[in-house]
Amino acid sequence: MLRVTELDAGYGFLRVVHGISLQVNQGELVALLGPNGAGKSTTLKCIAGLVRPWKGDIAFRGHSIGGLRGDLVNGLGIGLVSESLNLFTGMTVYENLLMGAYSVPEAEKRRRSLDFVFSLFPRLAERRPQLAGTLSGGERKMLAIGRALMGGPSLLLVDEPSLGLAPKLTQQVFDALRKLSDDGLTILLVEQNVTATLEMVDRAYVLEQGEIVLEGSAQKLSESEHVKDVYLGVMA
Amino acid sequence: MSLAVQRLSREFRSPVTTGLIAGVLALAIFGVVRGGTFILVDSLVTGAIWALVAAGLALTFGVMGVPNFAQGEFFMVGTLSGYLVYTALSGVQGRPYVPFVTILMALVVGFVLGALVDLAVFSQMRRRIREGWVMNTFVVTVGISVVMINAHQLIWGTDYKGIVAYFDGPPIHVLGVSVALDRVFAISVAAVSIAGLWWLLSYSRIGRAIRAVSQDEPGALMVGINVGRMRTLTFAISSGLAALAGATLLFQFPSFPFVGVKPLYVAWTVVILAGLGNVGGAVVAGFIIALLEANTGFFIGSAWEDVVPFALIVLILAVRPTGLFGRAVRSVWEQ
Amino acid sequence: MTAFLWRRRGLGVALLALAVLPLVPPFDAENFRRWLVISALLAGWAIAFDFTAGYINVVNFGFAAFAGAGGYASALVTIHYGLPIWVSMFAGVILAGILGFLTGVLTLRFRGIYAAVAAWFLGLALLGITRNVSPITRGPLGLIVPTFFSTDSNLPYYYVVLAMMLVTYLVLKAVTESRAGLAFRAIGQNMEAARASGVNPTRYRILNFTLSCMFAGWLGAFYAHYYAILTPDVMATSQTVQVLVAAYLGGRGSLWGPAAAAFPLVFSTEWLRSNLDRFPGLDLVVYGLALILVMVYYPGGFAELVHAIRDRRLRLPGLRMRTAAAPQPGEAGAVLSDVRE
Repeated sequence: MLRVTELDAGYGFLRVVHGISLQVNQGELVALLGPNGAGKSTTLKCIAGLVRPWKGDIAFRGHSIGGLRGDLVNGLGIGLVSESLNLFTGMTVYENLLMGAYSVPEAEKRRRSLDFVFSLFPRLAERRPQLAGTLSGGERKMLAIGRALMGGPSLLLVDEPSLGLAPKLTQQVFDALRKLSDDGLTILLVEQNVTATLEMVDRAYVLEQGEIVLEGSAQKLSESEHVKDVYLGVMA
Repeated sequence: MSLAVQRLSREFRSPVTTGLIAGVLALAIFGVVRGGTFILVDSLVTGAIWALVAAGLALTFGVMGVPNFAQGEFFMVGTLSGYLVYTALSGVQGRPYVPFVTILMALVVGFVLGALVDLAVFSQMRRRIREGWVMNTFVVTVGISVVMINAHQLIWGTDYKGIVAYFDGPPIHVLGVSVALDRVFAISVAAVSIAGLWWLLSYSRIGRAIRAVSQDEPGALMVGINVGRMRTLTFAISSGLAALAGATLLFQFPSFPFVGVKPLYVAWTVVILAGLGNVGGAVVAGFIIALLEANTGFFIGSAWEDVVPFALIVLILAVRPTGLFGRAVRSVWEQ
Repeated sequence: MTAFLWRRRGLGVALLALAVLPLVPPFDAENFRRWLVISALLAGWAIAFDFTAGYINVVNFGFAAFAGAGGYASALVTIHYGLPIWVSMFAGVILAGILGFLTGVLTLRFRGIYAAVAAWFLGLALLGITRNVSPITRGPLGLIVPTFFSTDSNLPYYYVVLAMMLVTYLVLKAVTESRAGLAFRAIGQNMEAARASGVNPTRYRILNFTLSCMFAGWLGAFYAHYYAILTPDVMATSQTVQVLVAAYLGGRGSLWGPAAAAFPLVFSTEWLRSNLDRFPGLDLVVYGLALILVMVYYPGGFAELVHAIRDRRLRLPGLRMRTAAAPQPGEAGAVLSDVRE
């Protein structure tokens, strides 16, 4: 469904991503793991059209989308939950969700998406008339995911869902993502929390200093010496 | 509605704001008791128009980060196109629909011109400028203002191009003050436009998208909003509103190259008082400034109308740097 | 000493050229000499303006009002106390300096556009006051001001204003090259970071405003005693705009760039005005378009162009190289600016 080939990207004179290639198949839940500053978020932003790639190709369903503007990428069915969430803090929860369905013209489809999001996160239904800026951290995360789902994406990109959340809340968010994936949604996830992520995803890539150093099934990666040493060592 | 209540209650929590509001009320009462009710009526009429011009200015800053020094020139464009249309329709003058056609045409001219300016200037700058966006665009709007003023002089000359009145019926009486029909027309147009703008921004899909761009640009992009188009639209709306105000006040402000200077000053005073980028606050502040002007004009002398508000605003700013309604617009104005 | 002079060789050549210019045909014609006077005056103002805009990054949008206040002070002192102009000019310096100091204090808490607008409003208030206290200033009628010389020639005026421009440049340049200059730049780039690294923004901002306005007022005094009539219009925003255009076309943060831009700017607009008088306003349309084009396509202005050319030439072994410190935008900034594309 998504194929990234030899992607180079960065900011100013600083190259952050060096020739990354990765692939996400229909219905998969794939994670991009790695330490801070490895280029995970930049990769995701390139796919979503928020950062212009320097080199390489990004193909979605066979069509090249590299360098396409973010609003157009969204229109093709790629939803992004960014690291900073980018919620509209001066709007209510309801309005934020409505904005998520900005490019969905059918009212009926919007209503069904809304019902779905509220059933996934009942908490949001309770907070419906509240300003997004006044929500708690966990609720914001749910709202951001909900907003991305409102557009009815076929591929969901999620940047650091565990960031800033307590373990219990993280688990709730992870459960929701797992459930979405089980329902057939394709998800590409960026995470630093390696243990919890590997328990949930199908496949993963490990990114270090802008390059992919390991890839494989979650099972295979959990058993890899490198992952054990570098990421699981402290906890195991 | 609950949103408005939330917002209001948040804004009134500050004692400084409450004090200022009390001060304004005191000023209004003082004006009415010592001067007369006409101060209140005058303030309402001019305040409504200033609110219209200032709301556009606030919108442009909030959504695009452009502190528009050329806002007054779009007012000038409104007076000019109003004059040209009205005189072109001289054959059918006296028909009640003529003033409405006139101001609608001015609105369209301002809107189109604003869209063109955004496409020709700001869209180009956005591709190039990496830092100092706010100050750079400010200087560019200074250039736009110079060009528009002198283009007017070049093509239409410096003489006053005005009309006596849109309507020649007898004045109506409000609170013991006689108000000319044109002024009633002006306040009605302003009220309808402000209500329209409020509805547009609050409830329409486009308006929500505009607010989304002002609140979080990458977020807007992420939900599929064409951010560039929203910015163009914003500048066009704001220019259109200024032009509409100009055409509506043609009876009071005959068109000439520098007619935009006064509205520009007032709009900026209003917007600074309200806090840059705060559209709702700009409407309220529009009335406050008009009240201040009416009081100054009556009690101190009309020559001081321009001096007292400016001095007062700077003092208010010294106490509250983010304006009367203290919305933190830091991210935008701290460059 | 030789090193100091060598580093200033460009300035020396430029000054020599400017000093000789009014004696060389066709520039020895009186109207060209008048344009030269206007250019040098605008250049001086642009230097003082750039001292604030290009260093502490605050656009003093009330600039003309402070310059005009200096003019009025000097004029009134000569008129009422009969002091020689050379002395009374310092009344202008003092008044403008005090006003600059007060503006600095009042706008201390504002940044960017807020500071610019606050200074603008103060300038407008000053203009209004000047217009309204007609018993002193004769309001819009204007003051008749004694002139420096009783000659009709512009030549002596030109040398006076050229010298004043030079003093303005040298003093302000010296300040920007001292420790204070570093502090100014630090404040201009990031006030919080500057404060954190021990720079006192309060003191330096006030110092900057005061100095800039003092020179503005001094040159304003020259304006008064050159034109012989002083109306409140000298304080109007359109005057500030002229200075701002010169400063931005010349390139901020260099001091010499704005000065260099003033001459071609005045000459081209005056030429347009006198030769195309069938088209009143055309000169200013061109002026405004030039400003827009430069700001959109080359915001560094003339100074950056010269730097770019010189850098290429100086990439030879053994010569001092200008190290271009490329800005490294933070991630968020980069994303935003990428979004703009």
